[in-house]
Amino acid sequence: MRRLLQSFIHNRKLYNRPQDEWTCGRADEGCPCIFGPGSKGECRATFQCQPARKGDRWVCTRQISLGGACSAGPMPDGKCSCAVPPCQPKRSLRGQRRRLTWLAVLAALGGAVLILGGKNRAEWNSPGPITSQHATSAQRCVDCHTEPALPPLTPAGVRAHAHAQDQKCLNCHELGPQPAMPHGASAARLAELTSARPADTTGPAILAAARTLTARGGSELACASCHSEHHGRDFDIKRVGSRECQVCHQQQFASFAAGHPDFTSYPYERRTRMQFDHRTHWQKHFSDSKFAAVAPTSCTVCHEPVEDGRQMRVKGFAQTCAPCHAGQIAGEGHAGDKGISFFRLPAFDVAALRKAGIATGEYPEFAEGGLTPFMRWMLEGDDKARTALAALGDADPANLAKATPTQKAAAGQLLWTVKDLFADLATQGQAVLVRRLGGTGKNDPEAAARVGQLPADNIVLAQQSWLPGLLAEVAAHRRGDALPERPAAVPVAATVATPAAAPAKAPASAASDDLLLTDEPAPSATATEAKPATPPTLALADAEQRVSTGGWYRRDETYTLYYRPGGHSDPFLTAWLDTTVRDTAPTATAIFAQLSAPDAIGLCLKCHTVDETPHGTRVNWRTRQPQPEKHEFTKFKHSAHFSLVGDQGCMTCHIMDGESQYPKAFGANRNPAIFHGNFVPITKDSCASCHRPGEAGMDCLLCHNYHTGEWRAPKVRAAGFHAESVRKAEPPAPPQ
Amino acid sequence: MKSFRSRRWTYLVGSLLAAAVLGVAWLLGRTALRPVAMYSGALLLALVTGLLLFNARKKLPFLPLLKASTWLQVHVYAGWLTVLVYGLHVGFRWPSGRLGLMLAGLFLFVSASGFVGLWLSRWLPPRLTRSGESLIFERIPLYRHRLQTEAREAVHLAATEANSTTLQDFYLRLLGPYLAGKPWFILALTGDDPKHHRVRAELAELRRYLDPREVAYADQLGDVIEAKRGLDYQLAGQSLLKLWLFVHIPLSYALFILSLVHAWLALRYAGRW
Repeated sequence: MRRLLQSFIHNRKLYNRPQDEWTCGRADEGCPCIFGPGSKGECRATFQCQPARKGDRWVCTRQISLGGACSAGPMPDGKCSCAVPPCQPKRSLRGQRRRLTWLAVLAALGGAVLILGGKNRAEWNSPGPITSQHATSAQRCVDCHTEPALPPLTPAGVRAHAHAQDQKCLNCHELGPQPAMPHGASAARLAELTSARPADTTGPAILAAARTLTARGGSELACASCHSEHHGRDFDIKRVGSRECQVCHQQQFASFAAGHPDFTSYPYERRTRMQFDHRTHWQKHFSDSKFAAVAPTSCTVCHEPVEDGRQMRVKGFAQTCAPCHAGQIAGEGHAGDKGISFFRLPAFDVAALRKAGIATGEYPEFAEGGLTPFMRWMLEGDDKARTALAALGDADPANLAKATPTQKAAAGQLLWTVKDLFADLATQGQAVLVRRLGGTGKNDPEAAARVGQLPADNIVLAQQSWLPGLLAEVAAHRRGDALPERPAAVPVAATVATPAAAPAKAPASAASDDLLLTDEPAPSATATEAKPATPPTLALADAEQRVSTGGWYRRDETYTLYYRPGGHSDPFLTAWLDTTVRDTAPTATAIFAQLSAPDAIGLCLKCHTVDETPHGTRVNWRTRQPQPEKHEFTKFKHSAHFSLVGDQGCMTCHIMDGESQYPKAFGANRNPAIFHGNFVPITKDSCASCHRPGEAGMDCLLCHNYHTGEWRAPKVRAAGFHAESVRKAEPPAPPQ
Repeated sequence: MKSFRSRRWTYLVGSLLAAAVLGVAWLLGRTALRPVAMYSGALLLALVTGLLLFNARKKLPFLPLLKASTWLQVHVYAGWLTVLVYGLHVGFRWPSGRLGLMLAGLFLFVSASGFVGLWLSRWLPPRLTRSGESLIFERIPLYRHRLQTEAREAVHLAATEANSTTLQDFYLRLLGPYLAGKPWFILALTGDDPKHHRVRAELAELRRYLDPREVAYADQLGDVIEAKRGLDYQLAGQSLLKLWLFVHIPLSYALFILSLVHAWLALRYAGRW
């Protein structure tokens, strides 16, 4: 039988006070004192009751729960006779909990003080370790954070704070002129893109709903919108989900395999910088038995991955084109001169000029050809020459029979400007050349390249051969004196058959120093002098042949100074092509036309193309090169796909287009955006065969960059971010 | 007046709806690159503050601020929501900073103790009621004292009448310590208290050696032992119902204070909100 332990007889029940802080120490024994402990835990026990006076007697008032009236009764003086022994009050359960709560509160407050103001507050304030990339440079909170005294709470303050925080990031991460704008594009560009594409409502509903929460109209995005730090050393701070990438886009889709727009002409965005027709080379030339020894057998003979594995770079000229084309650049198989006529004594109708009373001085009567474009370039810097050329009009200086007196005078003036130029070149050498070619001085590398290291002595020897009295005549002409009487120059062409037939006025000493490739050795006597028969000597090879590796040579029979290219990347040719391609002046155009003609010396523009874009006109001297500072929207890593290609190798993806009209994009066309690819554009299906769920992944950032544009890699400094921040924030030091 | 069941359904459906709305809002906000951590943090702090006010409400019974039972229901369901919001706030990742770890630990203990307390308050009371007499917790020491006294008196009477110390020895060796001792919570609740079984078995073994005059006292001691078992069950159950608050309430205040510190730091250092 189960017994009951507690009874609820109304006048016998104990009255418990569980809410009190303290309980009587004798409560467990069933005899708690009726007063109970004080609020501070002191025992207030005295007697079991407070006797009451009834008439002249004292009666006991002890509670029934304590046994009712005691048998002893009150003392005569009215005191209770049942004294309650004192107890040690105990803290109640609630009191214990309250005490524990206060301890917890005090501990938390102490912790808060230490966290906010303690010695190690940086460690406590940090929400977690930062990524290893940032950990190398950031040591303090202030290196990456602004620390306002109070958190900004107004919208303007919040914006300013976020902007200041972003600036901290941008101290190291250069992201172009508009780093906070989506994709680094301007608001106008974003608006243009937005208006160009209607919103696609067929995308996932979550994206459409999320788009309503985004700030539209090209608002700036804080760095922290996508990049969250303090998640550990190995946290991928650049990782952003594909949904987040699309949220602003007009066209939204579920995944790469489902909904991603088809590729249009990927990866071909422009024509190749080198005009190289893969189809004709591969199908026609490389299969020709003549080239069997040098023809490439696979793509990797000419292409190689760059260091980061992304781009397949075209190897250098020596490894690719040189086996077949190196000789052509040096003029091999080229009919006619293998050099470029740079300077010559142009043909003048000397007889007509003299007949008209115009002094010509010494000048070959049988000079041929007009001014070379290079001479015209130099003469156009001379006022007299320019005036003469203008006055001459369409008259041919070589035949002035029908010329007007004015034209004859202009021809005479032009003749003297040519002689002036020649004299200056002979006496002052390359300095005059640099100046006449428009250079700014000896430190102008472009002008120096255009000079082509023309040996000054070669000009002197040419002058001594062609116009021995030039210096005296020009000096007299400049003084306005009468010209010294000299016979007209003898046409060298008439005597070029033998070395002795060359002009005779060159000093013997100069002739003995002829290291500069004269066509003929300087004769010691005039051609008209009778000479005794001399024993045969070693014959000089043709001047052009003597500079087979490139350089300057002259032909006295045509009074012309030539430059022969030395091979690929000839600085003289590249400098002149670079200079004239963007110059629309007639002379520059003529030079460019001469150097870029299909049969031009050097054949530079047989392969190298010219781009005319809004950014300017330029000759593409190099194939597409890695541009680590350029971050394009789409990226691809070739090296990651090498193991995936099939038996076709590169042609697994790059399928040659047998119908391609590749050459049509070149020639007169300078717009690189107009092109016909040698290969069929890669389709989305090619990629989607592997890039699907559970296989190669479909994240947007796998193939796309968010931050596009050109900028340098982040500055990593062992001294920390702070030094960089301070350097940028501080004004430059005043000059001492 | 709504029944408990209908009220529970109302709160449950309301909580599930709120959780769904929060989850969708968080997903949309995160997709839209909004500072969801800041928003969820603000909501979390508001929820923690609201949950903490329940304790304050209990101290202010005179204010007409809805019924305490309503507050309790709101506290329970808001507690579930708070766990969800905390998960959203930290991105369902374990934080790595010192303060974050401390907050996570506090939150874990507070929420876990809350759920344990909720479960105990649902699971234990019917069992305590079914176990026999429902005792006032504060009086359990008194009843234990009475049982000890009763056992002492019975043993004394038995020894006097039968002139035998068998029961006295039993009391001194086993029964006295058993009656004075406090139970193991789990053992008392599961009914597997080895002390209880040992005392009962010893008493049963002892009966064959007792004088017929002692048997009645042995029966009385058997009743006392059974009463002590019931007392232990009540003590263990009611102690559990009260002791979980020793974890839940103090740590709640600590969590609240450190959450304010965290909010201050977040507002000060965050790159946006």
